[in-house]
Amino acid sequence: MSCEYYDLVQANTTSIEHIHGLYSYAMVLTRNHAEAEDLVQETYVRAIPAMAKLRDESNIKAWLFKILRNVWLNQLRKRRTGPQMVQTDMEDGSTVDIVDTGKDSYDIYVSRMEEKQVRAAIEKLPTEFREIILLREFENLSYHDIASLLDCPAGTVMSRLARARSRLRVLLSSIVTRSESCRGEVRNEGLR
Amino acid sequence: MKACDEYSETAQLYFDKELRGTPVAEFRAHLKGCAACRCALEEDEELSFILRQSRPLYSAPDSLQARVLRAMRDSSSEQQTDVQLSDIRSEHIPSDKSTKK
Repeated sequence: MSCEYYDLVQANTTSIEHIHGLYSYAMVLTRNHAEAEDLVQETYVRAIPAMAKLRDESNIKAWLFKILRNVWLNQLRKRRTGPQMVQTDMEDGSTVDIVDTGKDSYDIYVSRMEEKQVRAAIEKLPTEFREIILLREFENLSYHDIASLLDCPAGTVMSRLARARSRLRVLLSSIVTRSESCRGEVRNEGLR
Repeated sequence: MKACDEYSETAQLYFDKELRGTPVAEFRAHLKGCAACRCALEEDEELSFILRQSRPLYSAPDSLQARVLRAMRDSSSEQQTDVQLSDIRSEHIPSDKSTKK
């Protein structure tokens, strides 16, 4: 079996690991299940022929996310020239598969409730904040990778991320509970 | 809760593991005496923990995974066929030059 063929199989295996992340990113950008699926499929269609040519040290994940974003931007540009019909299906109570991690039923219930709250909070953010939260908190991309993906300076990544987190903290105040005890601690230190 | 003004950017870089070298040690020393920065970090950690527990934010449907895998398999088998054909040509089919001999 040729080295090139082996590399292709290896690259394919690595790239399929990112399908949930890519789908999440597509959902964050489009807010529509059908469009998100098309976007992910198109991303792989474009990526597959180039897979075997990637060097070992290539950051396949960042590269796939970049392709997806470019496909989305191209679609947006095309749509601007044609009639616009935007359909979002985020608030229709659509179900999302959750992996059972072996927790007991109460824990599963609590974690599902939290997941719902997290998704609802993220959906309330503007696109640029949804995007940066997904890339950093869910996909763990570095500032450098995010800056290159969004085509902006690292400083913009940093400030946008700070604002997005701050907005999310307010939206998730019912489950982010550390704030109160923290403030008390800071107040006490100030009195000393 | 915000980190103290002087260290707010450093606190974020530290939290996101984007701070390198000497500033890391400097900030750790600062943290020992600054409740505001400790608090800001704890809040960031808690938010991050809650978000990361919800990973993946959305699961790709099985049908999509199947379509992508099929596309990959098709592309791999095309590539393999190309490789096998080129092997056969180079090993067994005499080149034009050799046939002419």
